[in-house]
Amino acid sequence: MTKHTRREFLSFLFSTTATCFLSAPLLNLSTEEGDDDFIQVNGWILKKSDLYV
Amino acid sequence: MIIDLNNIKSDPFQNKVFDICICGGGVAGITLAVNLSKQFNVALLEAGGFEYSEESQEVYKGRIIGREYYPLEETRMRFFGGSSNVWAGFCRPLDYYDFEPKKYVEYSGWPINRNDLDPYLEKAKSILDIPDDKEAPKDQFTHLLNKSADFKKIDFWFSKPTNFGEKFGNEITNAENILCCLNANVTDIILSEDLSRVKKIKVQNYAGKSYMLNVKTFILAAGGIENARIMLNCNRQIKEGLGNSTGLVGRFFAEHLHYAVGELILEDRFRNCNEIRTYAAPSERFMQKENILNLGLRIIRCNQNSSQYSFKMKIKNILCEWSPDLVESVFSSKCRYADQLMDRVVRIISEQAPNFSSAVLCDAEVDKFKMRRAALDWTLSPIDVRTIKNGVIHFGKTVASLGLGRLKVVQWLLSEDPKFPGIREDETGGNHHMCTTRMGTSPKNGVVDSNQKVFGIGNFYVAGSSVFSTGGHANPTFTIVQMSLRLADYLNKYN
Repeated sequence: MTKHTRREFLSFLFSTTATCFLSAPLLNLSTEEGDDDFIQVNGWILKKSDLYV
Repeated sequence: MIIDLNNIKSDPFQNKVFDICICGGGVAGITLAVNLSKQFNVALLEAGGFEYSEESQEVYKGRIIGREYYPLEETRMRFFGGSSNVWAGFCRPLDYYDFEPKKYVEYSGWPINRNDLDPYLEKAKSILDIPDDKEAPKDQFTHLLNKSADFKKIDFWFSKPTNFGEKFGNEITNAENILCCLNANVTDIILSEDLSRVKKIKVQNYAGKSYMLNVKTFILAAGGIENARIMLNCNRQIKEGLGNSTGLVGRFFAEHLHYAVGELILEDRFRNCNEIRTYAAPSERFMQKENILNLGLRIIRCNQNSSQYSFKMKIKNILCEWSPDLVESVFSSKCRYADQLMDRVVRIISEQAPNFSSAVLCDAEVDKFKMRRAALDWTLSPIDVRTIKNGVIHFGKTVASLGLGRLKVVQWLLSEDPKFPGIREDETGGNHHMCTTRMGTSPKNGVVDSNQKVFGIGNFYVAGSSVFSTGGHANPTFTIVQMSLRLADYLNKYN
C-alpha cells in the first residue's frame, strides 16, 4: 500500500465524527472536547467539522 | 566632551557643581543628556568604555536564585550605548490598556496614562531612526483576523537598530555642556544631612581611585537590574538603601516571557500571503473577559515548501498523526508528515503581572568596588501562566473559526501545570528588565512618583524600564525613550 492510500484509508477511517470519538479513547489519544465547536487532539485545535474531511 | 577616568591625572570634577548628573550611558542616559544639555551642564557617567571590556562586564556578574535566567553578565551590556549595542530593533508604544488599573491584577495601573507619553511619540521615532509609516499591504489574513472580537492584528516599527553610542557619540563629544566620563563607576550616592536631597556622587575608576561630584540633580539610569542594585547598595546613611523606606526597591522584577507556543497551517486561500511576520494581540474585551494580561503573538513564516500540500491534505495528515499506534500496527511504519505541514511558527511575548516576590536583591558576595552583587529571584504568578495558556488556546480557536488555518499548541503548555522550557530550550525572556523601581502613586506602591522622582528625596530621579509600573507586551526600548524625553521636558521646565 502506498503512503497515499494509507492516508486515504485513515481519512476514511476518521470520516465520521462518531468513528473519531469512538476511536480516540481506544487509540489512547489525548483529546479534549469543549462545549464549543472545537476539539483538541494531540495539541491541534480543530473544528469538529474538520473530522469530516 | 568625553574623558576617560582611567587615563586622567587631575580631578576633572574639582570645584564644579553639575546641574544634572546622570549615571548610565545607555538608551535612557544618552537621551536625557542630549535633551538636557541645551539648558544645563550635565555630567554623564558611564561605567564602561567605548568598547566592550571584560573588566567592566565582570561587575555585572551575579547570582540566579529564583527561576532559571540568563547569566546576569550576559543579559545586559556595560559600555557606552548600554544594551543598544546588542538590541534587535523592535519598537512599539505600550497600549492604552497597559496603563489602566485592572481589578483582577494587584498593583496594576500606572499613575500616568498613554496620553502622557503620546506627545513624545514622533520624537522617539526620530531618535530611534524609525522610517515614516508605509501603508501596510492589505491581505485577506489580516482583514479576517481583525473581524475577530478577541484578537487583532498589531504592528511593530523597526529601528535600524539604532546604536546610541554610535549615533550620539560625536554629539556628546562636541557638546560644551556635557562632560561624559568613561570608566566612571558610581559607588555611592551621598545625601544631605537631613537625607532630603542628593548632594554628592562618588565615582571610582578601575584602578580604584575615587572622585566626588557635586550635583544639583541626580538621575540614575543604569538599567533595570543595576538601578535597584545601586540604590540598595548605597546604604551608608540609610540602612535599607535609598528610596527603600517601604522595601520596594528591587521588587516587582518583570520580564517578557518569550516562548514558541505553536505551529500554524494556513487555509489554501492564504498561500499568497507572503508576509514573513504577522503580529496579533488580544482585544481589551478578551483580556477583561478572561482575566488575563497583555500578550503579543508573532506569526512567522517557516516553510516555503509546505504550499505543495493543500489545506485538506494537511488536515488528513493531521488525522493520520492522531493514530501513530494504529498506523504502526497496521502498516508497520509511522505517519510522518508533520514537518511538511507547517506554514507558520507562532511565538508569544507575554506580560508578567506585578509580583512582590519577583526581585533583584543584593547578594553577600561583592564586586571589585565592594558593592554587593545582584541576586535575581525571578518568580512567576499563576496569572502569568494562565495568560499564555488561555491566550494561545483561544487564538487557536479564533484562527479556526475565522477559517484562517489550524493551530497546533505545544504539548507542555496544554498540561494541567505547564512547566515552561528552560533557557537552553527556548528564549524564555527578552532580556527586558523592568519594574524594579516602579512608578507609583505613593511609597506604598512605588519607588518613584509620576515624574520619576524618588519618593522622599527631592532631587533624585530614576530613568529606564525600572520605572515601568507594568511591562505590557511591547519591547521596552521605545517606551524608555518616550519616558526619558518626558523626564527631560519636565526638568527643563521645572528644575
